[in-house]
Amino acid sequence: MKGGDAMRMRRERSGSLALTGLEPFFVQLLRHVAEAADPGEEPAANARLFSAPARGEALAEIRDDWAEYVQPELRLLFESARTTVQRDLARMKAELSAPKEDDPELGAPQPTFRLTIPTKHFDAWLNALNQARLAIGARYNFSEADMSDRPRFPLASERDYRLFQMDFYGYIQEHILMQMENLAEAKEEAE
Amino acid sequence: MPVAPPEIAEQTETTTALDQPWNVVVHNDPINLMSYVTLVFQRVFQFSKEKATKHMLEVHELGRSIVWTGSREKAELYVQQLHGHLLLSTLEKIE
Repeated sequence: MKGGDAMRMRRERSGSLALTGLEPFFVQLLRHVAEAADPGEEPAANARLFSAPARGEALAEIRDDWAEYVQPELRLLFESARTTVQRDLARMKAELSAPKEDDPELGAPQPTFRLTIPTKHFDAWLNALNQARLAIGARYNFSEADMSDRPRFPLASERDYRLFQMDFYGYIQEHILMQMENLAEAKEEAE
Repeated sequence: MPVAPPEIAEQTETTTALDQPWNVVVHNDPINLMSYVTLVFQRVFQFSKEKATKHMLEVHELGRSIVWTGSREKAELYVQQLHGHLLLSTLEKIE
């Protein structure tokens, strides 16, 4: 992906994941996770994040209790995940990457950032990134075909940008999931 | 003296709605990652990786999978957990 050549995902000894070499464009995308995930008053995003627990007659039996007891708990859970992500993002550190020898336009080192995702925050990240991807997908009514067509640079429209944003969040989710599996396997081997 | 048979005023249903089994159904959506859905099934239902993958593929290929059947109370708790993980899931009463 152009503009993301310096970005690397590293597994640290502690089990945490570190994204290094994050260029400002990707930092901006990450800082928009909470905003993208918040459904506000948008009907489509709300309908997806707080989907109905049943259909037809069964829904009539459940709807009132669900709205009174379950939905407020789900809201708190989702808010809590977003808050954890925002705290990790606030701890992002600036780093200086080496200039690229083969790129004459880049004479001086470019500012990049490093983000650490601690293992105990993996669930919150998966949840918040999922909220964001689902809310974006609902807002823009993206289909499976839209998402299978990988976005290409330059991002020519708002729609391309949002597809790329979803793709980038999915990329981080995949790495978190892989790391969780690695850690679980290592724990099994140790036992 | 002949005894008149007792009159049955009304036949009542002995089973209540709460006794009827309910299904927990997970529906396909194009956004949740397949690996994430598998992980959630393992977490919520303590499925093995193989069983979780089988249900995930059923959701992906057939559009839905019945992942659990039992009491309404427990089915509601499972659906609540699945919604907490943002999967599209519903309760269905077995008629």
